[in-house]
Amino acid sequence: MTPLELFRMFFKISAVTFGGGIAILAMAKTELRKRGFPEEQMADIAALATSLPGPIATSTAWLAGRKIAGFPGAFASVAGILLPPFFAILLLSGFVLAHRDSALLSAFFKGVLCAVAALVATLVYGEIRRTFTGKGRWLNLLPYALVIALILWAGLHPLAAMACGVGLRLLLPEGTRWSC
Amino acid sequence: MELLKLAWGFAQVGIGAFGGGISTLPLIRHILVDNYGWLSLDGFDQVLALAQVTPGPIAVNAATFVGFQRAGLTGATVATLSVVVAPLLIVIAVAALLQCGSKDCMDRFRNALRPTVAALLTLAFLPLARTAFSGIGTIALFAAGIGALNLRFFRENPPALFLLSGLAGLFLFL
Repeated sequence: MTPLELFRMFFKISAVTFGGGIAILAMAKTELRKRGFPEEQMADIAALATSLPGPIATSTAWLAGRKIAGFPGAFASVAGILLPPFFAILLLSGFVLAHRDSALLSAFFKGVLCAVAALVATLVYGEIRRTFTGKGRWLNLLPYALVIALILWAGLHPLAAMACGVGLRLLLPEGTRWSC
Repeated sequence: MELLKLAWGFAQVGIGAFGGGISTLPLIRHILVDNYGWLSLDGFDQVLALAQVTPGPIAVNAATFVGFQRAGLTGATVATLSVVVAPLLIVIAVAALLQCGSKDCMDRFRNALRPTVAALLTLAFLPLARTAFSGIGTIALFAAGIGALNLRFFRENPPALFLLSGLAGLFLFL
């Protein structure tokens, strides 16, 4: 694939996929599989994109674009991912800023947030179940509680608290691993 | 000066973004609301709601919005690029290192990240819960949302649920 084709593919994926990085990663897998991209390379990209910092969508685009068409491919892919949300927010932000105090908009956003709360509740439930059930995984409670305590009560910068959480988990004996 | 602040603030957001958008919310809130005061708590909620009904990662949406609000088109561009470029530099470095093996090391790190991501998700839920449990109407919408997420359609298209819930909000909260 040429950089231009990569740009168009990721632009399309980004414009029509709502629901965050994991959804984009899944879409990119499907689309790249159709174009004959090797499965095990896709698995490596998914592993890297989900364990490294940064939005999963842009990491996926960078790594896949780089593999397929070098640095031009990587830049084209990331540009394809970024442009749809960039223009969507630019178009809407003027409107939102002008009507930020309108009762209509706050009522609408309040409704949206109730449903977002519902989605996040199901995510938290699933994540907690996965994190603490399984052999040796009860130890995960320690870093979990540490991160919450450091951010909520000690008021530590979240980045510092995250480093403590990951560090503590690395010091403890490892439980069963998750595959991604 | 404002542009430098935007670049530095959003580079931090990008570098701390682990485990998907929602688990980044505590960090985004800390930086945008507590550290820099770019958004009020209500403003943060508005950006979160807006990000959920538009395409793209929450961190990127927040960067474009706040950047535009602080310094127009230039601000939006600088903030959006910062949130993406800073972590991409790490991705490039690690991908280069991995050429010489140590996949096991990656797996260990990802596993060690897990409880921290679970903690961040929990923290992301707390302020949302405050909104969702602030009255009978919001509790009803929250419960309806939980029910709707059992349906495959809404699980695969959460923004459809968010839009419907927003429209219901027009009737309930006006």
